[in-house]
Amino acid sequence: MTQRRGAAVPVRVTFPKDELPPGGRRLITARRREIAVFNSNGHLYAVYNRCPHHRAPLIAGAIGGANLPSPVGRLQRGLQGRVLFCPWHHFEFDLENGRCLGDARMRVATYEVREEGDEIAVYV
Amino acid sequence: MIIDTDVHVAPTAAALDEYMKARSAAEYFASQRAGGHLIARSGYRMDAYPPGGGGPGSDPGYMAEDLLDRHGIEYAVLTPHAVLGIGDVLDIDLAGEFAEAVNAWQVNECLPVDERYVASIVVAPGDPQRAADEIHRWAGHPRVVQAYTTSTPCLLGDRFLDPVYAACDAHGIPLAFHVTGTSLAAVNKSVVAASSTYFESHSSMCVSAINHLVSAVSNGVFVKFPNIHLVFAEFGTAWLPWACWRMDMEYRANREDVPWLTRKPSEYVKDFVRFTTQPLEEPERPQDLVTLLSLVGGDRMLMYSSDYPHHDFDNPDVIRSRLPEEWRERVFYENAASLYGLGSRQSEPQLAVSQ
Repeated sequence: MTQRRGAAVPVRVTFPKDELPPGGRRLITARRREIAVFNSNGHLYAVYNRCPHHRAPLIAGAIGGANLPSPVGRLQRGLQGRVLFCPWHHFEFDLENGRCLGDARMRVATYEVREEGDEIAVYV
Repeated sequence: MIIDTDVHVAPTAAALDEYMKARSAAEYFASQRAGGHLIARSGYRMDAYPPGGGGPGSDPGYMAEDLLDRHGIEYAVLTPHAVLGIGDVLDIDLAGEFAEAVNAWQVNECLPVDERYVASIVVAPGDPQRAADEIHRWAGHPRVVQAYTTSTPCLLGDRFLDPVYAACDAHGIPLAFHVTGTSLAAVNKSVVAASSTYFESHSSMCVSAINHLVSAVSNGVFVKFPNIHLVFAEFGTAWLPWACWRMDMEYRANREDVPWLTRKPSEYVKDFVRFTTQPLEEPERPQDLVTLLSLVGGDRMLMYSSDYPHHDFDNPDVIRSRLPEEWRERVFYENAASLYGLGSRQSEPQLAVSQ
């Protein structure tokens, strides 16, 4: 795993794979941080569990798609299963990179997460 | 210490049917849903569903834990959610009966649950005399602090509403006026047309607020009824300096239209109008909003509100961090305590009666 220079070695947190089936979500704590881990149609994502806007718990958010930039009046749906909606103000976050679709400067921290054998490992 | 001035308790239809007399709550909700546009996803916080079932805001016991305990709120002014679209319900008898059921439900099912709750008397604005009767019925209750309505069929300065103001004036209680407007029926009638999306209506909520504020001031509501206050709930705040300055400017040139006003219009606003904070605007530099509002005495007119359990909840911890130290006590507590006659439990064991 690539690491930022000077960054601490990530803490590896694991739990059994069958505890996070497709459609599932789970909250873990590492480095005194709450991390929300999602299995969206088999894709695993992990984000910091506080919305940067009003600190809402993102674990309670819905996952879906988003309307992509498009010509006026022609809605185009995309990013299905990759967008996390904050449970409070509905800010949209791309789970792949944590970026807020409505504010280019806003971002929620994301973490490396993957299947390792029978476990799911999150690197925080 | 915090007083939250906009807490949307939301009884279920079944709970309200216990208090309906001739009609059903389902009839009301069906009437409310006709036309309009919807918010994408939910209008509620996704994490505010009570574990025991029912929708967000329907369980006052859970709401006390989830909102009041978590954020250290000393008083919550209940502003029932179901009334936000009451202007959509064109059957004024149905609207009136529904409002009365909501009031009985608040007093019987919410206030006993937690001493931090205080209630608003819901009134249907289409029948001002019935609304006045309802205000007289409840205003003497020690934990009822204001009357509350939305989506009036006219601007707030219209004499049509005089019976409502007269009733509030007799008891010395404020009238809260809450934003709404997701359908043609509920928008301010002077707006050219209804908005097509939630984005549009929610972004332009201040338009009707300016209309109503100017109407109330210029038509002499506060001259005729000097014992009332108006509370503008959820209309935003940053438009206020513009409205004050504009009215003061017009007063110099067109005073002859409003000769009953003996002071600058903005002075009536300062004395008689309060504004709930949520949704507090979010400029890039939060201090810019403070600078703007300080120009018209905003620190004495704003009252913190969360809007719980609606999705656009303003977390008090975040709002506090955006206000200067010298504003916090006033905006989070003193302005509302003074308006509603609420005493601190740290010094007084009993709720003050709002008179």
